[in-house]
Amino acid sequence: MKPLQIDEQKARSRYKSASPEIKEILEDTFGKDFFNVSVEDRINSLDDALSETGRPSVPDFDCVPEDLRPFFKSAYKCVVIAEALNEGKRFDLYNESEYRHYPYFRNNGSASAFGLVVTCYGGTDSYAGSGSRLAFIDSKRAKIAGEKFKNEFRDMLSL
Amino acid sequence: MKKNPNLEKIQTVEDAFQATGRPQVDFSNVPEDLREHFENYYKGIVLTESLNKGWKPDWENWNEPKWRPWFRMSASAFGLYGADCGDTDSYAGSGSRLQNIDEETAEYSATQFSDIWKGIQLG
Repeated sequence: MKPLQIDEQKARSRYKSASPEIKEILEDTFGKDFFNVSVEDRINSLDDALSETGRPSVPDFDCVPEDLRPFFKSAYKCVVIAEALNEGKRFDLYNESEYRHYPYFRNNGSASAFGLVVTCYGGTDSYAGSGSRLAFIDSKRAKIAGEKFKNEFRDMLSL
Repeated sequence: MKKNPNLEKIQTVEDAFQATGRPQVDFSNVPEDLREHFENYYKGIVLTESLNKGWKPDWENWNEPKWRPWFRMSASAFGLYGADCGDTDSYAGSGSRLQNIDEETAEYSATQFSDIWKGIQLG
């Protein structure tokens, strides 16, 4: 008999669609509370986002010219953060009925003044670079990204 | 006649690499499903640099318009929706590296190089 092994990330992603019997097994293994923690509470750092998504740590991007490496590192962080907050949901940008939410920043050069202005949404349009990788399921998640991960977004937008 | 002479010079992505001296790169150290996104992002940066005549956005200057293309996301008709300008604001993803010096340049970039922009948005 082979023991079944499942890590936290897989357990969480499978839990939602699991049958009642499988849910019970997962709850016995990880605890019921484990599955009740909201994404808002469990994604507090880049490490949390990496763990949630199973993505490898930030590549060194030594393939690109040196002056662009900080930008690509921060862009990778923001992509992973968006994936984590969206709980694996990937957008179909061609679906007109699926609204995508974006954080919108005041980017006036000063590190202290940079910050979230508002969250916006679109159905069939998209600004340069915002695309499907940096969109959020709802305004709540876009706001969390813009506030909790302000530094990561500031780096991506400024570097 | 285009006001920005670089719009006549930069007809292909190879022209953009040549004009900037940036190397073509291989993103094999990035997770496979993210490579298309980052490859196109890199091309978009090189393209934008090549078109901007050395201009870089000054985020402390509220009087300087910064132009970025805005796309209609349609499977059959992906393309430019318009060019929008801001002073010191920025959407997620539309940072320093993808801003254009003027409206004409933003529109040219989006229409002449729509495959790159599509790759960034969808990759």
